[in-house]
Amino acid sequence: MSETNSRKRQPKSQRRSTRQASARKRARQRTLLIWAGGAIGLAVILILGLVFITGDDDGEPETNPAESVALYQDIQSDGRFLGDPEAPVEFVIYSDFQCPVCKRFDTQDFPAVIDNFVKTGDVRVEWRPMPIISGFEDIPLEDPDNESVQAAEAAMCAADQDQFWPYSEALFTAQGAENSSTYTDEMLKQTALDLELDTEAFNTCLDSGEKQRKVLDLRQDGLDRGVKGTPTFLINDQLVSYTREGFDRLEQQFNDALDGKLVEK
Amino acid sequence: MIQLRRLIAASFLLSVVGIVIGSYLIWVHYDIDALVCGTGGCEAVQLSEYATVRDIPVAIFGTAMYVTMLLLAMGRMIFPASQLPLSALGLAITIAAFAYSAWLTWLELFEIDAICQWCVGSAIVTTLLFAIEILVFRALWLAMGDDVVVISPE
Repeated sequence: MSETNSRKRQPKSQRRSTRQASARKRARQRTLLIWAGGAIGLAVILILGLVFITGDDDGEPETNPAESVALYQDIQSDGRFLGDPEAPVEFVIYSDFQCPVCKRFDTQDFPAVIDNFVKTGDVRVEWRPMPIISGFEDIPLEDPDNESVQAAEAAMCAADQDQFWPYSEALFTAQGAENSSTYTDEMLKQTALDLELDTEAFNTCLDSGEKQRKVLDLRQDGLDRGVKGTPTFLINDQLVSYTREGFDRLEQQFNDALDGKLVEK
Repeated sequence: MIQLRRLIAASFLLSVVGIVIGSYLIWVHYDIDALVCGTGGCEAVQLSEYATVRDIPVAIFGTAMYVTMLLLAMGRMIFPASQLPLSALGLAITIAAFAYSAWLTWLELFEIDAICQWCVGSAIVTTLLFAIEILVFRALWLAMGDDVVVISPE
């Protein structure tokens, strides 16, 4: 029996009722589509809002190398040390030049440490290498492609010429993605040239690998002291972590150390 | 309608999971020592410049989104007559959250070069919430043949 015949036999009232039900269904589906369209429109507005607020806050401030180098002028420095040797508080920084958080500390918090505590003679800073980032990709420490170790060795060579701090700034400024061949032999030597170091002595130091043992010994010493990541600090031999409060937390810890109190971790 | 009821219940449970993860990430944001990480990259992610927007931890945005989704799920259970507007709001929020979460995951992989298991967990929850909202709209569409669209036990 065909459908047409069956429809023909439907009473008029039933056909009307079917048409009305179908119209109601279409109306409801139209309503649903309108709401879905509204949802997509609202989603676009929300996404644009997120892009606007995050785009306006695009990360860390740009580092100006000239300003960075100027930061260390008129402060007593000796190799990897910065500040008055008689300062009551000893501040050790364990860092890796490939580590983005170390760069964050260096650009956002370290200048305030220098201005408020090093220049006043209250704190003396010592940098110690903690090359760990290349290890995330299982690159052996002795491998020439281990950029964390290579950059640390180069910084130690610059320290021989009392140019550690400007050299360190230059390395952080140039920081790229981890293990992306940023700190190549050529780049490390070019940086020394740009900073007007004695390049002959620097290149000989870097090529000979004479700093590798010292870098690895200091690294091992840090690990033995409980350093688990970078940057990590020692304030008068007390291990402290870098926190989001950055300088505010360090300021409190330095003040505790100056007051002779035990520094809170 | 049972499928719709199950979808809303799943959205409710996922929102609770999201709130737990988000709250933990807010906590460790202010106390990085409390961070437990199996991937080794959580600290790098948490301390990266992308972990905050105008000094507000991104985890607060995520947790606020999960709380909103939880309230929407409860609203849809309590007020079935408001199913459509509340579902539309849920869809809008999860589309935006999914896009933002995808961008954050991209940053972890290609900018920060570190993976935070908690952040990935949150991204998965957000993706599932988004998928559920699409299924809710599908269920509503299929239910259009019924005269009244409500959540009812069978």
